[in-house]
Amino acid sequence: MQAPGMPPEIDRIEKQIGFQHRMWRAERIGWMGMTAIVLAALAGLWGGGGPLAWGEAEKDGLSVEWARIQRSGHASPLRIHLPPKPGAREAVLLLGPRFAEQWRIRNMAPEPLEAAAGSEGLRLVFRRDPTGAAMVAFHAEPTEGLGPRSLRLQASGRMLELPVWVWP
Amino acid sequence: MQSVLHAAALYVILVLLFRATGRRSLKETTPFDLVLLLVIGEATQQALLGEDFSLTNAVVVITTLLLIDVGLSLFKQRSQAIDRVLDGVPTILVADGKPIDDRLRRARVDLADVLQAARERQGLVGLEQIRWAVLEADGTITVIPAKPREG
Repeated sequence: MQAPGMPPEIDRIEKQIGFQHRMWRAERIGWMGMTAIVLAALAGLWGGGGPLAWGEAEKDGLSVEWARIQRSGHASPLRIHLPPKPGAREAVLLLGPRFAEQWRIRNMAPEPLEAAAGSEGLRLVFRRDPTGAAMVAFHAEPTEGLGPRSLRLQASGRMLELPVWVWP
Repeated sequence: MQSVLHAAALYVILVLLFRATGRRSLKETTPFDLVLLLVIGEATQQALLGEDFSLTNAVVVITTLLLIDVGLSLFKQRSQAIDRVLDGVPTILVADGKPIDDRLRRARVDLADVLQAARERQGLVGLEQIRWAVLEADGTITVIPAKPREG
C-alpha cells in the first residue's frame, strides 16, 4: 500500500507490517503454549492435585497415598496405612533420612506418642487401634527448591521409596 | 537468593504472557479489566513474597524488579530489534477511509473501536472522514483525519 503523497512516518509504519505479521504468528503460538500450560495444570502436571499428581503405593501391608508432584510452600497430603499387627499396641514409622530437611510437617492426625529425629530420619510412634491397625494422615510442605526428591518410609520391616517432583 | 531468582523469573514470565495476550486485551478500563489487573497483581505479589513479609524481602524484590526494568530499557535503546520485539510496532488499520479487514481481525480490533477513537479524538463521525487509523504499539488507536474535499 504505497500511495503518492504518503507522509514518510506513515510509510515507515507501513514498512513494518512484515514484522507485525510475524509477531501475530508468535502471539498465536503463545496462546497455544498458554493453553498447554492450563491443560497440563488440569491434569496435575504442576501439582496441586489432579490425576498426574497423585500416587498410590503398597508393599506388604504398608500402603501410602501421596502427592507425586508438589510445590514449595504448599502443603500436600500424605496418608499412610501402617502394616496391621493384631495384638500390638504401638506402631513405629520412620521417615527419612532427609525428610526433616526437605519437608515441613503441617498437621498430623493422630498425634504421635513419641517423635525423635536422628541420623536415620524422623522416628514416630503411634498407638494402634484395638484391631492392631494404624493410619496416619498429615500435610507436608516441601522446602524451597526445584527438582526430584525421594520420600522414604519404613514401618515393620517394610520400606517404600516414593519419587516426588517439586516445583518452585 | 530465592527472592531475586523468583522476582527475575516472574518478570520474564509476565513480559512473555503480556506480549502473548496482545496490545488491547488489558487496555480497556472497564470495571472487569481493572478487577482482572488487580487479581493478577495479587497473584504476583503472593508468589514473590510467600510467607516472608520482612522489610528486607520487600526491598530485595522491588529492587530486583526495578533493576531488570532499567536494564531492559537500556537494552532496548541499544538494539532496535529488541525494542521492536518487546514493545511492538504501530500498525495501520484504515487507509484512505478503507478498513484493512485482515489486520483488524488479526489485531482483534473492531471497526467500532476505530470509529469510537475517531469520535473521541478527532470528533469525526464516519469512515470517509478518516485518512489513516493506526493501532499504536501501546494499544491506543490514533486517527488522522482526511483532508476536507474542495468544492
